[in-house]
This record gives sequence, structure tokens and C-alpha cells, in this order.
Amino acid sequence: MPNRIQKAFDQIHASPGQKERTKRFLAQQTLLAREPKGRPIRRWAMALACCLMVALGLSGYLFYTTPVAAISVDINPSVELQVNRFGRVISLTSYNQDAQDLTQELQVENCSYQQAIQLLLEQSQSMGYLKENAWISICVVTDDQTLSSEMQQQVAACTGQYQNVECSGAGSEEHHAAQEAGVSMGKYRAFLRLQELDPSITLEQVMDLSMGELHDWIHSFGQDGAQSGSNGQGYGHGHGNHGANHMS
Amino acid sequence: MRSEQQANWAIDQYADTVQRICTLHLKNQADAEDIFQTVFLKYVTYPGSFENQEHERAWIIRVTINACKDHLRHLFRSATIPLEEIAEPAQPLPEDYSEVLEAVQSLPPKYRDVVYLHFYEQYSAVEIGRILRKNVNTIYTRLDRAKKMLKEKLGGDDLAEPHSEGL
Repeated sequence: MPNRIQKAFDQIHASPGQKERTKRFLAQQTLLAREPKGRPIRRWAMALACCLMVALGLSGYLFYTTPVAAISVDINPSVELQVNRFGRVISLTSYNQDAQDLTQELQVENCSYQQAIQLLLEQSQSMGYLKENAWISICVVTDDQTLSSEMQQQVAACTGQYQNVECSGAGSEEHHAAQEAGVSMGKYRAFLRLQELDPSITLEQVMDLSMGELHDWIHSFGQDGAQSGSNGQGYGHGHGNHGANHMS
Repeated sequence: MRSEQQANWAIDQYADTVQRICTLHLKNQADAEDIFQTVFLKYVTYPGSFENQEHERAWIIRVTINACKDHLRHLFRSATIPLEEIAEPAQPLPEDYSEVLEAVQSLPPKYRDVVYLHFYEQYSAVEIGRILRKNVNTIYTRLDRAKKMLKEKLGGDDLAEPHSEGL
């Protein structure tokens, strides 16, 4: 038989109002964890998909904007093109005032590097930089030998209609040295060659000369290294040296 | 941290238990309201897990008894009577058994819990000792004294043990 105490306490109940007020109080507490709206797996999958999309977008952008090679084009103007792994030009650096004038109205970003070189040479011709004695030095900078050979072949193919074109390859170490000297690759190499022939020659003497002038100066030393002419800066024509250091 | 749904389930499940313990100790409904909020807020923020529903129920009972004691201690310290206390009287006791409930309420506080836990919740002395964190012999003594006091007040024999073997 249930005792009297049990029966007495059985009569006591919390009022519905009391329960409701307590529920409302707890709902107001920001501490309460909300029930998940969807299935946890679906939410995780959505979050993962968003992260993947962002990561893909970011890595795709980085993939596109990371240069894998540079192409230095020296006539005077001296211009350098940064090329991504898709062979597209992602930026352009002008090394002197002539280069700035040349590229002012030229849009080469996102063009293929072959197209960009053609545009640069056409513009140089129309602005009078490609005179009879002009010399075009193009240097492909990359540490990837296979890529370097392939790009040099492409450059040679797209510059076939021009005379006195010299195409070569260089590694990033030499490129870095040229950048530190503040000159383009073509001029830096010409300076090194001249310094071999005459150690008194300084970079300042070389900087403002065109590649044609530098080529003539180098040739004025002759095969024995003795300089012919009065000042070693003769402006003679460049002859048939197209591809002399091609793919060196 | 428990969800809103879990909190609502616990309120539906244990509100009567909390109300009964409040009736044992408190004089007005406003105080009981505070205890409800305290107990169930502790429940939703309790980081541990319960082995089963019995474990959960014992946890609710212990937290409610402690909350009532803390509340009374606070009232004693502040020594003031809030307006609501005057405005909102205690939930009226059920008429049929008001005599029994008044007799239990008139016991010293330390006997009320053991009477409720033993006669109503039907816990053994060992289980009560675990819930109240007291020595089992203390529980036996309190139960024995409480029974004598209630017999004096109420007379009769129907306060017999709910399950004598449990003691």
C-alpha cells in the first residue's frame, strides 16, 4: 500500500507556466547550443567544398601568376617579359626610357610570349629603333633546360623575318646578377664580354648604348683582342650573326 | 553543452521532482522559480555525460537540494525579504495531504531530504548517502529519527518502509 508520504508528494506538480518560463529562460541564454540545422555530414561536405573551391581558385591564380621564365629583349629599348607556365606574359619590365616609350601603348600582358615579341619588334620598327645597323638580342631566362631550348626555338621562329637577331639562354643566377647591376640580360652579357676584352670598361659606358653599338664595339677589338679604331665604339653594321649564340 | 531540445526534454521529465524538493525547503514560488532556472541552466552547461537516466535523475536531485540550501543561505545572509515574496505566496499545498506535507516541512531541514528520498523516491540508505554525500550510518540515524518525529505528528502505521530490504 502506498504510504501517505508518497500520496502527498504525488499531488505536487510543477505548473505548465513554471515549465514554460524555465524553457524560455534557457532559450534566451546564449550559452545554449543550437540544434544543427542540417545533417552534420552535409554541413561538413559543404564546408569542405567551399574550402576546396577557394583553394582551387587561389592555387589557380597563383599557378597562373607565377613566372617560370623571363625573356629579355634588347635593341635599345631594353624590355623584359615575365612568362608563366602557360607561355603567357604576366608582366613587363622596362629598363630604360626608350623601353617606356616603346611599351607605353603596347598591351602584351596575357598574350603568348611569341605574340608579345612580335608586337614589341613591330612597334620598335615603327618607332625607328630597328635601323640598318640595329642588333636584336633576345635571352630566355630559366633554370629548366628543356623549357629554355623550346622557348629559344619558338623565339627564333617568330623573329625569322628580322636581321641581326641573337637568341640565347641564361640561368637565374646570371639573371639575378644582371638585375643587381640594373641592366637587362643582353646588355649585361655585352658588358661582360667587353670587360674581358678591356677591363677598364665600366657599366656606365655600356648602359646607354644600343645593342648594335655594343656589337660593333666588341667587334672592333678583332680576333686578337686588339682594338681597331679610335675609341672602340664604331657603329659598323652587324653582319649575319643571326643565331650566333643561338641556344647557347 | 546540451541543446535546447535536450533542455526542454529534461524540464518535462524532471520539473515535478524539482518542484517537490522546492516544496520541501522553500516558502514561496518566486524562490522556486530561481531554483528551476539554476538547476536547468546547470544541466545544459554540465560538461559531463550521464551513464543512464537513473544517474541523470540522481544528479538533478542533488543539484536541486544544493541549490535550495544555497538559496536559503543567501537569504539568511541578505536578511531581507523581497517584495515578490510577499506578493506571490507559496504554491498552495494539496488539500488532501496538506497535513502530511506540513509535517514533513516542519522537520529540521536535514531530515526532510532523507524522508523525501526514502519514502517518495524510494532510494536505499546507501543510495541516499551517495546522493547527499553523507556516511550511510548518518542516513540511517536521520531516517530513524525522522520516522519517529513524523509518527508523533501524524500517528498511524502507513509510513511503513517502501522497501524495507533497501535499508
